[in-house]
Amino acid sequence: MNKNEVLTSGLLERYILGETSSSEAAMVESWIAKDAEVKAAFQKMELDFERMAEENAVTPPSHVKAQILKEIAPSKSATQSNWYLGVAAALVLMMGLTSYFQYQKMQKIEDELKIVQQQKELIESELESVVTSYAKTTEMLEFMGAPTTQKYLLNANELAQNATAIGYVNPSAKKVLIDANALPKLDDDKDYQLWADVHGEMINMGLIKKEKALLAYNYIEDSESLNITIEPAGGSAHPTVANLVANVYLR
Amino acid sequence: MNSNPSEESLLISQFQSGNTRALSTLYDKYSGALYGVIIRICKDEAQAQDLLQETFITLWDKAKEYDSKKGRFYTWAYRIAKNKTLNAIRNTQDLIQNDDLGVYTNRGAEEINEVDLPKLNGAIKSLEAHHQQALELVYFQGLTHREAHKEMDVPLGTFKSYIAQALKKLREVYQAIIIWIALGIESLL
Repeated sequence: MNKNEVLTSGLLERYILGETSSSEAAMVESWIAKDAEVKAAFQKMELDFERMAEENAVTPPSHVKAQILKEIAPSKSATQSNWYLGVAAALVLMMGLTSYFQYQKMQKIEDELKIVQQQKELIESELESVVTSYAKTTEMLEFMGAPTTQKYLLNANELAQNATAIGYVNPSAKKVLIDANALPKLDDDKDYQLWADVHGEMINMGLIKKEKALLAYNYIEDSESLNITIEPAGGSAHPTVANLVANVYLR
Repeated sequence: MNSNPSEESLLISQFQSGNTRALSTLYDKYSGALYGVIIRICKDEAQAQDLLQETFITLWDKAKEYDSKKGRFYTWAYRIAKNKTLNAIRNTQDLIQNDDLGVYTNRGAEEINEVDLPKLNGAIKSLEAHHQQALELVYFQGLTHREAHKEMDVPLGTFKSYIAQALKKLREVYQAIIIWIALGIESLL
């Protein structure tokens, strides 16, 4: 049976009404499980039938409910005897104890519930930050892999122990990413700073923050080269050329 | 029956884990609709009350068998109520048939006139007569499609299309109600 037949043959109606054979029922169930359209049609039909039944409801007399609740209640064996008063006293005592323990138990459950709720909130906020960082990472990876993005190695000199920083430059997206992970750590009173050389003038692109693995910068029009210097903490307005540790010419 | 889905599923899972309060709530929600079906099929108030009670005891005993992936709780309960009722009236009819030594006549048809049955209400009343009758036969009389098309004296295929059209009309009525409510709310804003 194809999907259209399932939808139009009356099979769904007969399934809801309980008229289907077990093999037909299994077929309907598998269609509902695998096909959103069949599922939606089925659910609408169920609701329409249900609503029609609701509109035609007849209130049963209240003793029916009472009888049902009585039948399903766990059976109690109450034995009446001469020690009536003793039993009654014991019951009162037990009830008192029970309600005290119940109260304690409820308090404990309430506390546990609070903890669970707090944990849930914590997990939700962690999830949110994971989702955000995943989105950022994806964006960066896309940027790195874009055909218009060029990769440059900034080979450092002995001032930075001949390490290598990597630059990803995309003039059309007006963005530069710097991976300065491999550069040696600086003391607190010093920072690496990034510069663009535009027609012989060094333009400040910003500091290379110590704790970040990948840093994004705005691409500066007509940059001929990227340069990294070591500057006093917080950076300088003009580069200390003697502290130039790496540079690369952009093609 | 208009509660939100998560509320309903919480209720159902409580019911399945043996919570009698959940059963009580489900009874309040669904007993009227189920009783409306049972009494229309068996046409006997005292028997209908017994059957409603048996239905809920069965729902309780078989709670773990209910699977929400296969349909709504009400749909499951409806099938159980209907089957119970049909079995019960089959047994009564068998007894009558044996007592009368085979001079059994169509008892069901006679009783429709004898007992003061609740009239149909709501959207179904706005349908054309043959659509109304088709739905009534399968839903409120408990006939199968195969029995019902003979009752209406039309081919099975025609009968199926009556049901499909009747459901389509029903849907239109319910959607129109939703739109009217929405328009009403909009005009208040």
